Amino acid sequence: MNDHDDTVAPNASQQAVLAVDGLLVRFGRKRVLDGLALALHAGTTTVLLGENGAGKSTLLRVLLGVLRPHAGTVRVFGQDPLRAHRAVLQRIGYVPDVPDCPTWMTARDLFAFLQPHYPTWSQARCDELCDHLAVPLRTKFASMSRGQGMKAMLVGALAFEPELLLLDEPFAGLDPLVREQVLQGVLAALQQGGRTVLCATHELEIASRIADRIAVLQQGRIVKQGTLGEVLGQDEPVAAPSGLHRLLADVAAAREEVTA
Amino acid sequence: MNLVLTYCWREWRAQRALLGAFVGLGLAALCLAFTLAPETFWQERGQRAFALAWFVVLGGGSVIAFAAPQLVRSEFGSKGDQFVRRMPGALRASFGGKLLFLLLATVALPLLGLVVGQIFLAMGGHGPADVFRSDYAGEVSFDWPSPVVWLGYGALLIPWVWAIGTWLPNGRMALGGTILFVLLLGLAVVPVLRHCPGLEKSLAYGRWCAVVPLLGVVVAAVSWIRGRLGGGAMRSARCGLLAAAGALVVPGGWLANAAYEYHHPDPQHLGRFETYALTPDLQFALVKGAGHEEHTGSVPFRIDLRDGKAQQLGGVWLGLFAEVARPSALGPMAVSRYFGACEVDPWSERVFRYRVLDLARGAWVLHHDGDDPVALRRLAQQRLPEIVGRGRSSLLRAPGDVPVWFDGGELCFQVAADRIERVRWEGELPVSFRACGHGFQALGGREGWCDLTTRTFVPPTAGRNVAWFIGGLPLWQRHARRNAWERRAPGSAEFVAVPELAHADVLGLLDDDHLLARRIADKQTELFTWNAATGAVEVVPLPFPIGQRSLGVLAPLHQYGSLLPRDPAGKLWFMTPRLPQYAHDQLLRFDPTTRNWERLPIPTDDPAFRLLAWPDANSALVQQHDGIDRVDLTTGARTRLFPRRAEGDR
Repeated sequence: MNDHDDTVAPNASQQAVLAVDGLLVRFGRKRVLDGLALALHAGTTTVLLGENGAGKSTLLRVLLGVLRPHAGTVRVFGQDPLRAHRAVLQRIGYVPDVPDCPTWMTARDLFAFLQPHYPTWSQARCDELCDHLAVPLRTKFASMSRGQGMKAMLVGALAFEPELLLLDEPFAGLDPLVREQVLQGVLAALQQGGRTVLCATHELEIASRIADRIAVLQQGRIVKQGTLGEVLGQDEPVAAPSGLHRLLADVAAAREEVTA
Repeated sequence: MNLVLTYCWREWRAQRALLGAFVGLGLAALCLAFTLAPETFWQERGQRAFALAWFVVLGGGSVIAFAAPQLVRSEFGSKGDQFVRRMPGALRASFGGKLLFLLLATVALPLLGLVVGQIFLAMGGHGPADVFRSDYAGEVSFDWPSPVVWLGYGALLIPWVWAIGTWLPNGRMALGGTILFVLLLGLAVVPVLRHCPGLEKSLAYGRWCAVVPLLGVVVAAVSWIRGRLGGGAMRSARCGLLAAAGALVVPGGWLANAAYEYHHPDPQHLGRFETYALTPDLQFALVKGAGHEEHTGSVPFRIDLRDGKAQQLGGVWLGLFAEVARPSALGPMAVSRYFGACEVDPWSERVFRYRVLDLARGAWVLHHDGDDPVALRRLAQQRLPEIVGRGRSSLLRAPGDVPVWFDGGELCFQVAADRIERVRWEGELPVSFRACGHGFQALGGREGWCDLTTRTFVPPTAGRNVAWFIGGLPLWQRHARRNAWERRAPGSAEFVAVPELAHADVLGLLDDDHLLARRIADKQTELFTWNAATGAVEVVPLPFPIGQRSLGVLAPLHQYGSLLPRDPAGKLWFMTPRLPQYAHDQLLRFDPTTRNWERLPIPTDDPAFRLLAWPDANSALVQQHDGIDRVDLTTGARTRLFPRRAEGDR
């Protein structure tokens, strides 16, 4: 009903690709996101770090217009994803933590289904990615391994060259080989300049390899954000002691290891 | 459109496996069931269409029970229905695709059932033409088999099943939710229908049968497109229920308007009405009518016959009765000024709030809040002594045209203009009485008969009733033999037959000495008088032979007293049934003095014809052709007294 087709995109260089402020989402009486504020600028890769249940997936669902916040403002490309659902979503690629498409679909069905939704869909790019990631086209999702399914979802998210890529723990639960394949696919996507990425994960190695910036989500708010160095250099303790301190220290160690 | 087709195809892909299995299993089970059933159950001629109907019903039922609920459930996967909700602007397109799929399924699946059924019957040796053929030579009408009718009603709810499925977690229990929703609606509708008996027969369902699924589609659209945008089942339920409330405002308003008009019909445009009573001056009529002929309840109106204006006296649950005094004449209402009234509670059927209506003034003159009608009658007799039909207004007559009436516990005989003789009624006062010549039957209280000639009480006799009194002679009738008349033998208690009246129907007392009776002799109805004193029989020639048809005496408002009713000219009115030479029944006027017959210029082509009153010797008030008319008996000219509609207003 409010799904306007306003496709007037603001100038990415002048405006944040994604701006969230005062975001409040409740599930019953529990405040999952409580006054969250976050801004992503064009071309940056931001890793959203947080414990299980911190609200990372919820935030991504709000950005996709799947979930309606109780309060706060959400602007993606300067527009409300609920009011300009089509215009905004046609520019966002999304990879869930598990394939969310119907299980009777094959990868071929999925791509054929996605194609009319995205005007910028490139079948050549799709084929290229499928070849590169060895996606089984004729196997139903019900019969695919989790890794195969995630690779298919990644292809579906990248084949239309989205300006914003949302990754919701896409590497969780994958075996090392597939995990590396998926990661390579993501890194290849990152190499294309101008694409903005928000990746929710709690895997530090992933974060250290892809992140330009890190935002730490705790108790429904971004409690730390900045470059990895900035996040690690902040002296002020986070509001509540938790495994997150250890997690951040692990990030630093991992980064040193990668650098070495 | 491309996206709509994409989603339609996607819906087919999502449902085809389970839908195919469900329909296939159902059809196979039906084939097996009919194979195992006794042949007489469905293979007899005329039953094959019934068997075929079940195949169609199974196809259509699978749309209701399976395809429609699955429209929502097919979207659910590992992350709920997130997949379709994160597709750019997909909700509208997916709705369109699902709607298209539903339409195709609604057409295709019953047809599939029909085809499978035909094949099944053909395998049993019955071709398509054989299924619907009837060898009966008479008139054959086609009635839809009841399973198909019920399927039709169920099909109206298909979009509602879809809509309600969006309101429930994971789209489950859509069918149960729809049944619950319909029952909840019933909670609002049934009280209205119960308060307006017969209203359902007058509602124009056809138009609304088309609206119900359309409203369902609108509600489903809002529930899905608006509800799923940033929300789940809960938001769909909120949006859908709001939409349903809005959508149901129109039919709800329509029903409320129909209910209001049921209780407040336009008196000048009544669908049916009956005239119950008139005031003695014949200026006001008590009419009960309804806005539609199918309405069971009637609304009472006081009609001013001078200008046709109507005053509604109450609702359909207002009961009116003439028996304000006790005892009162048994029978319908009559010419009177006062009438009793009571309210009836439609739920408990309790009667309460007794009142007395002054029809001449159009006002309630007595109130009694209790639920005892006897108390009201006592009150009425104390405060409104004129309610007792005194003098010439009484229906009872003793010989010599002596008016008789009850006044409290006494019978009053007006033997002269200035002299009333009173006879105490022994025992409990009857509730009502029925005139039978020079006597009456007491009903309720001390039951029996009263001979107004001898002023004596006649107790009941086993096996016999008193039918008529004439000049002190009771004529008895055996219970089992309606046309066998008996009298007591002089100086004895023995019953002896009255041979002159054998096989006769007595119409009433023509005068103090003569009974008027009819019987069939030589296949012709014969009218004759019988002199009770001499036993003499005199045949009254009819103006034309009427065969073995009946012949009845008319009384205004069906009010029969001691003597047969005569108009102001002293003539009796008869109605003959329709004869071959006439288009409809005939009204005749008979002069007992000259024995002349006269055909009246009043066609009785309307079954609702009712003689209301004789204002004078040359006119009559009749209810006919949806109105009350004054008819000039000389010319047949009519003056419409009620209703008086504006020119061109039908």
